[in-house]
Amino acid sequence: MAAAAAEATIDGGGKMIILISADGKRFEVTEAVASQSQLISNMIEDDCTENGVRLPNVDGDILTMVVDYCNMHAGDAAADGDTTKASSTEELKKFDAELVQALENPVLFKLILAANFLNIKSLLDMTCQRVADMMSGKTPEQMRETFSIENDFTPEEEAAIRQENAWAFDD
Amino acid sequence: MKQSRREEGDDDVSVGKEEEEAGYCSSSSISRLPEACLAHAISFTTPTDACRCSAVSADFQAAASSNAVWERFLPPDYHSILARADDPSFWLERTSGAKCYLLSSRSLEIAWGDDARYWRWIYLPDSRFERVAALVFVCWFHLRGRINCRELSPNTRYIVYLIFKLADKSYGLDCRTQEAYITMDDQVVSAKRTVSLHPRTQETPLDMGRSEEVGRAEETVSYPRERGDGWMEVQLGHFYNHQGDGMVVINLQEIVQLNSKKGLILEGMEIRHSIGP
Repeated sequence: MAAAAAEATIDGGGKMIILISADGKRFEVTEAVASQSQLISNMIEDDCTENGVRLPNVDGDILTMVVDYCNMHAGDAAADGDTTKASSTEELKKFDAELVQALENPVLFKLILAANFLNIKSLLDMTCQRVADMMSGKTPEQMRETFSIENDFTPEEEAAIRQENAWAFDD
Repeated sequence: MKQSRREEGDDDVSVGKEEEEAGYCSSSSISRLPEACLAHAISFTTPTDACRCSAVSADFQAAASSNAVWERFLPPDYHSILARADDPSFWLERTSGAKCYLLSSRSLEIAWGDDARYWRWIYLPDSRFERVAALVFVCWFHLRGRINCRELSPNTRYIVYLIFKLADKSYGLDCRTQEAYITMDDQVVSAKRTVSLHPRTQETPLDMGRSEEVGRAEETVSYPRERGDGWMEVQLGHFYNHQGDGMVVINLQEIVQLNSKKGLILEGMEIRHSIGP
């Protein structure tokens, strides 16, 4: 998967960087791809990517998704003025929509953690938007069910919160 | 995050998937997200959703009440709005975040407003402002409120109300030629409508205008309603604020019949987001 991802990159990214997941999977990507992560971009600037970048909080399967995402989006910044951009924007939208729609809850949350840790803003926004979509229009009970959350309020606490924002609770 | 051990290059993630599932879910439920991430997600919802989130659990409450969430619900120029004095007083409509204003009577152009024979400026404990305009007596009655489109939320429908009270001996404020209309850059955006400041039931002996055309007047007149905060309001018109520039001018006038008018206490003009169609 890593190799396939590497082939899809736009040539001209220059130097390659090795990303190593928590479970030891290695991903070879161009600097242009990797530097969409602000964390890695900073490391590149500080010249400390030579021996590969170990990411002890990101599993291989999650890092696979992150690398796929970054490969797809590597052209974003560079492709200004490119006449083929319109169609590729379309393609990107489709790719993003499919990626995010396919995520089951646990994977979605892991991907959010990874995007947050690696500081990839567009991926964080996209995954958080998915969570927001799951929240919107729901009652607190429905949200607890959706996200398997336990209600840790006392009945009095919950009543007080509902009272405080009563306007948000009447349908 | 759980660190699963797998052979390098092993793409078959289904291996051992079933036994992994239980631990996998519990170790990466939404409650494992840092507060900032959860807040970021909530910031993509609406104020209503955020308030509902706060009743889900303690974690959700902490995230939903964070500044990161509510900053996003505010208009981008809220710093400059907060920096302004409270006249015109300003608030955000709760469900949409649309900007709303109450133009104080002091900020309105009132014909004869600075002549103490006709209007007085009085203190009222239940006013939001230091002084409100109280009508002593006029024949020529004209109020004009102005606001720049840029100060309103773009692509938003607004309704304008006159916020007022009536003194004990008020009269003459329901003439059929007492009309409200709204212009935007001198184009009429809310057509003339007859506005009565007296509730529908009140008899007004000096209402010369209405006696001529009772039937027609009954259909088209806007009447006030009690607000529950001691003030009354009556609709003056509505308009749609497209993106952009321009001066909205709201007029309420009776300059035809010129009957005697008395006993109006004026809080101001309220420009509210119109919810619904």
